[in-house]
Amino acid sequence: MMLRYIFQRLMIAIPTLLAISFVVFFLIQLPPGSFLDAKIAAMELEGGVDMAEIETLKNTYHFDRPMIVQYYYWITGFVTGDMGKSFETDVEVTRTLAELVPVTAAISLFTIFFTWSLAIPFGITAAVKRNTPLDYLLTFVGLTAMATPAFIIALIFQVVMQSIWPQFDPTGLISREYANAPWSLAKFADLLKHLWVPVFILGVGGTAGMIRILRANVIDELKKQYVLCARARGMHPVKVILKYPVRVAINPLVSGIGSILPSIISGSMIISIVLGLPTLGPRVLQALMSQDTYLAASCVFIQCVLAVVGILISDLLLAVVDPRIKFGGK
Amino acid sequence: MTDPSSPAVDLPSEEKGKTEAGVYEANQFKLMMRRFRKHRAAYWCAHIVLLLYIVCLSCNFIAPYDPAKIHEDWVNVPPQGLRFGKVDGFTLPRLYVHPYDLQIHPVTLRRVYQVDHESRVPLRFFVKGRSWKWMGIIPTTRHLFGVDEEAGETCFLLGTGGLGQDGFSRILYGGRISLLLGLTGVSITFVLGIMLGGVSGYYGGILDLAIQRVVEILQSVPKIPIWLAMAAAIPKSWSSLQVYFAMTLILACIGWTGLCRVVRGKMLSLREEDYARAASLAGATESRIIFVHLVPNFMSHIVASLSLAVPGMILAETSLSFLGLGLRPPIVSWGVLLQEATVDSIVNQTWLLLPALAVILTVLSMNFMGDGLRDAADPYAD
Repeated sequence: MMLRYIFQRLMIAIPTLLAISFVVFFLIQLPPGSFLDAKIAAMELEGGVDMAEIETLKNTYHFDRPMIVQYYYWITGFVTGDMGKSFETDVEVTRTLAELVPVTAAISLFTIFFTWSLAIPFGITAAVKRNTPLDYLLTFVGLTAMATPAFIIALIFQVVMQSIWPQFDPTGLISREYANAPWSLAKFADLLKHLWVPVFILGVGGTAGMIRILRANVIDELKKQYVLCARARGMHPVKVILKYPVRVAINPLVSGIGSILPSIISGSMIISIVLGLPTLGPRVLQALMSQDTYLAASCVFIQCVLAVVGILISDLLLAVVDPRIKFGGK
Repeated sequence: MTDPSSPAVDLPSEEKGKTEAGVYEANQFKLMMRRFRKHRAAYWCAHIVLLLYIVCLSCNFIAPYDPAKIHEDWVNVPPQGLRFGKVDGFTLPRLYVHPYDLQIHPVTLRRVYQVDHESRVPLRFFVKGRSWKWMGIIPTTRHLFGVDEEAGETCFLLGTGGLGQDGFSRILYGGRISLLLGLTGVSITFVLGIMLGGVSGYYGGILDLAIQRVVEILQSVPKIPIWLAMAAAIPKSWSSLQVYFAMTLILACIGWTGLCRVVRGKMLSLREEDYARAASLAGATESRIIFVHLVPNFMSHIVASLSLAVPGMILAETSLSFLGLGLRPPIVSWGVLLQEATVDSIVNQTWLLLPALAVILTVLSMNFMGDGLRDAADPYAD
């Protein structure tokens, strides 16, 4: 049953992904002009236009062919694992990814861990102690944090840090003296010293949102009769809450795992740009702006793939956690 | 599953539709508003939202300065606090501000603004200033308040920015753009969602399949990179008005999918109802059945979920504009205003963060209001 369901879902996912890849490629090619035009313009500014170089570029990247052909070359390459080269830096896209994805993923995974470890206890507390000052405080702080754009939190954080801890530079991930050094224990320690900043900033908003979801869910469950029944049987109050309502209330978080997958790469995008972190976000943005098609399209498309896979995973997990949900049925 | 307050497992949609139709037989809006009023925080937040819209939409009248006007002598002036008391030559107490003395620092040659506690600049009401058109038709030069500019008086209630533009006026004008962008974005979402969802649910078949595939594709695309890609695709040569509409479309074209699904689900269950069949037998056209008989059944739900979508759009616009991908000067929006806020500028000129405060207040009260509306629209509430 389950295998058949997975197979069915995968069959639907393939045409979906093909359509997405086309949309992404089209979107990136949408602005008028191309990278080649910009390159020629830049060369003209510097003096002579090197026709030979232009010709080579044209031939390698099929600039003179219609878009659909360019798309064909890109997607066939992508499927076989060859994502082409960045126009700008002439570096293989796969190498750029290998360089940037680990850092990006590290930030996101730490953020998820931070978010969950704060949100679950606080969310349950707010629900159990609802309509007390503690609940109001949590709700107010949570709502305010949710209403604040992440980049504002980053800005305020930087200003506050500057006044209380001037020696510490919250931007970047690796101190200058380690920038080109090979990986060592000291460099890793330096990375950890910087990593908590984006994790904290990103975590604040996410935690707030999750506390609210969890609170609402636990409250819904607390009203149910089985809770009353368990209490009447003399079960320990803490155990009652942790064993029944929390287990049901956690479902939305489980189904949220799917949406975490793509956000492992894209979640820190805006913050990375503000804090100047060496993650995928700023690189993709730059690629989008300069119409560096292969790099931009590959990065955005990988995120879409992760999103589709993520939805599938969360559907499966939800069915595992909640036996009431059956595969395939609505 | 986006609705956090709903139980983890929804009832089968047909069953849900039937109960709802029973509860909401007549004027569901009145029922909803009655429940909404009981939700005190949400009710008051709705007033704040209304006030914000009124103030920002009448920015031409309320704002004392033109948002683009550059005051060369008054760059980075701290806010002039509004005070209430006696101003000489007038018997009744009135609103006034303390003027600033402009001095050039002898060593650093930087401008230093010293508060002159001795003199008081009274605010004058209904003064004449720059001309504007009331409702876009009737030309007038009256403004709510201002000072005697010819005598060199100033009232920068929220300070000025790096170009000497009045912060208070810019926040109001920026609010008009940001708030309207959220509203127009939601309207497009609304139209797209109802039309496509309605068609998809009512007709079913191949049309339904096609629309649902598109929805699925759009929903599985991660939001931020696509926003960035689309925003980066806006040509630099476009006028600010074109950019504005492009931004609205970008924000709206991702949001409509969720609404489309909801509408489709409701439509699927409602089209089998007896009254729908009766209308069809009585010769009503299909669009009449959809929009007159079926849509009003779940209108309150839609209003609630849309009101929760507005703050998201405002936040998105702010972030995109801050990154330089959304609206660009000379258009003033809260995101554009925040472009001036950098770590270095905030340390010295904290008031440059005030637009962020406006964003937070707006989003916060809209979220509260939306939560309240959603609870009120839920027939299983109490």
